[in-house]
Amino acid sequence: MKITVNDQVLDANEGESVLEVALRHDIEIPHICYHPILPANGVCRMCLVEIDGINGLPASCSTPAADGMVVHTETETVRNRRRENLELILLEHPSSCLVCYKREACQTFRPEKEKTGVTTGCQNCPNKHDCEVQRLTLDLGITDLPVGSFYRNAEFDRDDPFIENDPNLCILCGRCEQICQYHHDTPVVVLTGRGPDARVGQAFDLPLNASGCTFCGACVDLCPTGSLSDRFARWYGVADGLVKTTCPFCDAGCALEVKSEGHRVFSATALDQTKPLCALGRFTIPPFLSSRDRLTHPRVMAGERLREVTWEEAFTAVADGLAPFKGDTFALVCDRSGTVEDRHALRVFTEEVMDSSHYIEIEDGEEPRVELPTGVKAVLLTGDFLEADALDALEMVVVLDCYPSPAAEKATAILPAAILLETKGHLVDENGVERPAKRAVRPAGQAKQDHEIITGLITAMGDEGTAGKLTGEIETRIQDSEAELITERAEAPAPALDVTKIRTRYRGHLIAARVPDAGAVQPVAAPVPSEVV
Amino acid sequence: MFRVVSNRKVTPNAHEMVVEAPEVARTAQAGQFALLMVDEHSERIPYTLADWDEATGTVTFIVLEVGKSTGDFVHRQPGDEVAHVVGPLGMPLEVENFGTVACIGGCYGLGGIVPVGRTMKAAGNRVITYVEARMEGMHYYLDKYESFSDEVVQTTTDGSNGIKGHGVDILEARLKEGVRVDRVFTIGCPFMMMLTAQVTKPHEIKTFAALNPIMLDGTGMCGACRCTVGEETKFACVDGPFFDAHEVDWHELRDRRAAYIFTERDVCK
Amino acid sequence: MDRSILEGNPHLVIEGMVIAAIAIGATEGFIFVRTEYPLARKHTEVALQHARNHGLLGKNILASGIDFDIEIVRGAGAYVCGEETALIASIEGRRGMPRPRPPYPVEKGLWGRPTCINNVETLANVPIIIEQGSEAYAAIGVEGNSGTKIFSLVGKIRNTGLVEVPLGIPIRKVVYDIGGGPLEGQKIKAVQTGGPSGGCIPEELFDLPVTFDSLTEAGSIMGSGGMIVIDEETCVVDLAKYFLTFTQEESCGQCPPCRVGSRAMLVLLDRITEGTATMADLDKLEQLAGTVREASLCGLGKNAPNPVITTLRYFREEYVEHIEKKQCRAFTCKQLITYTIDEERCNGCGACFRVCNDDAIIGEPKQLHVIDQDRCVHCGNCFVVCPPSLAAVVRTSGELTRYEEPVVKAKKG
Repeated sequence: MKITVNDQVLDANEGESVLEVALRHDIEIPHICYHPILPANGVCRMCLVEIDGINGLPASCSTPAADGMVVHTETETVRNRRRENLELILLEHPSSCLVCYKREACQTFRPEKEKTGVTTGCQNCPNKHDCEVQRLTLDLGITDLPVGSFYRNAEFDRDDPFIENDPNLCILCGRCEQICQYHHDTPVVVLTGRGPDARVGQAFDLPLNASGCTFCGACVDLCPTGSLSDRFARWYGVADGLVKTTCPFCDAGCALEVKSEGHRVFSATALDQTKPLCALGRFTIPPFLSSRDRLTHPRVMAGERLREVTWEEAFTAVADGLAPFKGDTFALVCDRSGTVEDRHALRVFTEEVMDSSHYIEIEDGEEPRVELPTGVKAVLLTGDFLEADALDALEMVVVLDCYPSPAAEKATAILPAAILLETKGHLVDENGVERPAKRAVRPAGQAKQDHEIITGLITAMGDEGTAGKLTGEIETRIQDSEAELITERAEAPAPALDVTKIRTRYRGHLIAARVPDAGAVQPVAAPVPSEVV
Repeated sequence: MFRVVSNRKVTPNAHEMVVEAPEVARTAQAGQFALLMVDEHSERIPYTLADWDEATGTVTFIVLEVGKSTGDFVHRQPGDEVAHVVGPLGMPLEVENFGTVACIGGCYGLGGIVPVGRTMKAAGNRVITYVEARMEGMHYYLDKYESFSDEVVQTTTDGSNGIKGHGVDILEARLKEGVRVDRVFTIGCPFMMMLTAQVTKPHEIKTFAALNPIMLDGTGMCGACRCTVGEETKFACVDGPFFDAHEVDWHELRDRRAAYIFTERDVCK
Repeated sequence: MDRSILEGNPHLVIEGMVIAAIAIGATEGFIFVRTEYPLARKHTEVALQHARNHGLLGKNILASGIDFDIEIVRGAGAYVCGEETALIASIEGRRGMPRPRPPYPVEKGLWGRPTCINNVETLANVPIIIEQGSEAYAAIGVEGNSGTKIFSLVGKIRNTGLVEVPLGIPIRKVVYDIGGGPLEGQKIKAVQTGGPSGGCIPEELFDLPVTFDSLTEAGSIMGSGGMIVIDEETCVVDLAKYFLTFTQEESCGQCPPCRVGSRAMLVLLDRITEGTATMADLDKLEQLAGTVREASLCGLGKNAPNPVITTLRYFREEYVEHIEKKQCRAFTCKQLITYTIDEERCNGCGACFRVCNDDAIIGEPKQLHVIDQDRCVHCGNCFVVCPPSLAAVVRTSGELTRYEEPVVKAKKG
């Protein structure tokens, strides 16, 4: 098929819209509500064009290309209507900064990062670095609006877990509703009210967790303004680090695009936008990494108290402490949240260095509490896996973990572990295929990855040969890795469709204890209207 | 404890907070401010005194919600209490009959400019008040300006109410026409105050701006509010808050105000 | 119109639908009735049951091997659900919102299947055409616009109600002959056809035949078949504002031209009726009307500016008067009317003084009353209560002053 756009003859494929053909050939037609993965909605009216033989100004996103079609995207009528349409969109959006003739001077003077309670203009908008409305306005050079602003002055909804909805920034492009429909069949985020009261919200104004939201965050990803935003990432702005890796929370192996600023991960989004993430993958990683009580420094029991020490001191103390427990009086308990390499190191340490048969790896889905085999007197724990009474019977407890637990209070030594996106290596997905885990950010404080700690320990125990061999093995493995990310998922992972299936614990710690929002995503019953009661 | 008497949302992001603080109300003078702590362990934040009433023992602040501490404050309802109000602090304005005085306010300065204009009027000045806002519905206190101003010039950035543009643009145009102004007072964001200074400098009109750096004790001990005025280091809390706007190092003020942005951002979640 | 057909003769519609179903091979039919019309729904339900009882609906209709049944769907009070794609969405259980076409309902309609969607009146005509033959039907009306059309004739005329006329009849005949012409002492100014989305046709054009094409040409539409007659007492700017207020509130909220554009137009119309507009605002209004009309997604938005466009086309001078002279010739736009008390006529009865809610009338009983223009909110209460025998309250708008002649009552006996 051939279509003509502005005197250029372009080849078009069956089923493509006029807009898609034009964009594929680098002919820019301004658009807002169109998104490549969504069916054409045609509501923003920005992509209007003139087509010979068709009355009026059809929206190019919703008009299928037909052989011989002649399209004009830059006639005077089209330009005027497009411009006036954007002016109308700006009336409802806080646009004073966009039409301010001191905008550039102000932008240069203002600090790079700012925040505010309620956004009333671009200069303190969380989305100011990446706003499609701003870009279009500057492209079309709009400086005046036909009448006074229709700023909604609506209450800013901050009560939902993870997602904030500032209706004052919304331009009602409907992408959120469309992607919600696309991922979950029945949209949770919908257009409510009509005429001047139209806005994006939930039916009956229910909270998200009472409306069936799975917190996949796709609506936030697609929002062209800052109206729907990720509470944690809201004020970060431009990322200085971008890493593509595998989600470390469960074995679904979703590929993530991780953004960081300095030593902070602030956002993780789906690499494959056609499938949703679960609430953990999309929203929980950054806050879980940076919760205040992370274990960040190695500590060793000195008398009655745990004292902060250097890694060298910690290794020596642990090595000396564990020396008498070689054999089956030693046990190591871990779960499957670490990388393949980490678990390999833990197993080698238990079986070859400590000469014990008690390498206990808790399977996913099991209650993360274990009973130790009889005769065990010393244990190395990589998480919160033991009941308090089991701890009392032990002579030595070494904790290699990320957060405090009852075990950490009784530990002889605490070795802070790097977790989630602080680690690198391989993760195994549900089909048993290894997927790459890339380090997106430096570990918190002095934390180290499990296998680094283990090799350090082995070295301190005097077995430099095993340590060197282990390090070499792991390094080569990571270097020569040919593992690939799941860039296209066949279907959405179960927790992304059913929020009750998300993992609740990581290394035995309740995730919701560190990230309360992760607990609040669980569905609640919709409140019964008072007149029914 | 200090009781919140009223809390009124004057613009989408600013609240007029009236707090009972009789000692502050009794001795306050134009140009001064008060430090407020919402809870016993809250951040100390200086607020310009937008008004006070000795009879009822109340003081009025215009509070812009920008983060945790200001957010906590604006969510206090009438009857709730705040932990501390310390004031009045800072040097009162030098008041005399200068002739024609221009008062330029924007944002929270729309409230802060009220006592300044009122005092200047009482001293016999001709007061022209320039008030700027982003858009329709973000102006407030118009009745108060009317009460002391010989003229109120209202502007909005998008032209939805009053003249399109900034207050300082109107002043600039008038100065170019040769209109005489003897003194300028400006309260608002650093950018706006800097613009005002740039406009009045070539005309050699004494201009005073109320600086708003981060402040801690408010008595000149901690040095958090350090700013450079005419190559001299000054403390906004005891030497200010009003300084000669032509001499202020605005870029330093901006940078010092943003010093804790990362921490401020992290507590916002 | 449609409601009266469903209330009065739903059988006609059912028969029309069955014929249509046979023609296109459909097995399911839906009648979408507003919840606000309970009688129409009830009667249609009864008619459907009768049809089923007589084997005219359901499986194997009259042993013909044809299956077809009809279901009633209640609308939830959204004007936009008159738009076909919004109506389909509403039947499907979604929010009644139009979607872009193509695909048209005939390709992909209800539940994604080819759908024939028509107005009640259209379907009600089908049995008649089949029964009497197309030639007999075409003999009524004019070429290209055959048959009859029901209009809801209301407004400032003597006879109001539903009237069925052959298409092609001149508007004048409907308004003057059937409608009985203007009320006592008034002059008809225009007629608004097609409901809130229609346009206003001035008296000069009343010889226009009522056909789909001629109405469209005049800037209006046939639409729902409403005919609202207005006389010199009605201000066209206020009329346009009234209809636009309705359409902007009923906008589904999807597309900016309709949602924001009609609201912006309303702001400008408000300025005009309040006397704060400039001529530049009138240009803006025209431009906005163009944008809303050309850029909107569905028929609701595209037709929303019709009242403004047509009144601007035929009564532009009234708009200009509002702006330049601050004058409303129909004495409708409150802010443009000044009330004063004629010193010669006022006898100080105090009637106006008592009804003024804003203490704008100064005076004591038995003394001359004066209206304080600064406090007056132009409500017109004083004008209403001033005894007709005095008619002391005088209305002024721009250059116009309206003196009511005092009514002299015949003396008793």
